[in-house]
Amino acid sequence: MPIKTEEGKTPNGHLCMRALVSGHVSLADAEAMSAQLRKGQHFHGVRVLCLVEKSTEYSAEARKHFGSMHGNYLRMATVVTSAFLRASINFMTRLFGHREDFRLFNTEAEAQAWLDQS
Amino acid sequence: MTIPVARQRLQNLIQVMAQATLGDYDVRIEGLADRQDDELLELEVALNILLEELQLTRQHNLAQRQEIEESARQLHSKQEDLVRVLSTPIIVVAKGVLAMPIIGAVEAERAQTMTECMLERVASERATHIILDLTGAGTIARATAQALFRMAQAVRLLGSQCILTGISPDMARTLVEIDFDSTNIMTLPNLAEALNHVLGKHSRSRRIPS
Repeated sequence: MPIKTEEGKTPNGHLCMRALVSGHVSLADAEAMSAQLRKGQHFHGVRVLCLVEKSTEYSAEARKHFGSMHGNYLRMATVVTSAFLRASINFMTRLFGHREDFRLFNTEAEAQAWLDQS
Repeated sequence: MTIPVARQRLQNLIQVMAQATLGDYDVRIEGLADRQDDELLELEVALNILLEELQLTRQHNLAQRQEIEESARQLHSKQEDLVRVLSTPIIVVAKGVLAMPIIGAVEAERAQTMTECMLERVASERATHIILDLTGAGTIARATAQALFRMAQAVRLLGSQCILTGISPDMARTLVEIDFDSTNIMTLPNLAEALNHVLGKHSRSRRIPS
């Protein structure tokens, strides 16, 4: 499964959704993740930590879908070590306008620290 | 702020944009996965994503166009069938008796269609008589007259009697000009007379001789 989600906790004990992303991400995969963030679902309104592996590729449809998650989470921190993926995700976020609730990081520790700030 | 960029990368970027301008949306900037992070990388990634979107849109448009063309073909075919049916009305006036009113001009293609339809119906209905009513045909050209003659001959070969009705004086002149041989083709003034003739024959043929 390209996007594996699980429950986690930030260093300060806040509930968060951990999403491990790898391989080819289709629209169906993106929709499955966003469905878990919808109102009434367990992860609605929580902090989200995405860990994106180097092998990840997003389909054209999946790229356009991620913007629909905005408003269903408190903050989303995405950890990506590949320069290419960082540039891709940066561009993807531009498709939906600049967001204060989304940020990219090089390490998980930095990402967790930012999630705990809110 | 100035960004130091290798000339080759800029040239590649411009080359890809030039190819895309000419309609080549398959082209991409290669080797981005192994690049180091710098300001130009996002531009290169963005261009590749844009080209992918253009390619998908083109494929979608092509598929839609093919769908539209197929629908148009089917519609045209249905239209042709409808025109064929409407331009060759064949009425069963009694068992074994067909009537076909001919309205408007009869050019070669229509004559062929009419002949095909007529012969099919004569055979399927086992018609003994077919009445071709020319009251609505207007002026007929020589070619039309010849087509009518061929129609009547074809019907005769199926063992059916062809009766022409509603021939106007102008039509009569044209038929004479083409040496219309009416030996095996009956002509009567109008449809009513033709029906009286045919139905009268039918009722006489059913009489049991004493």
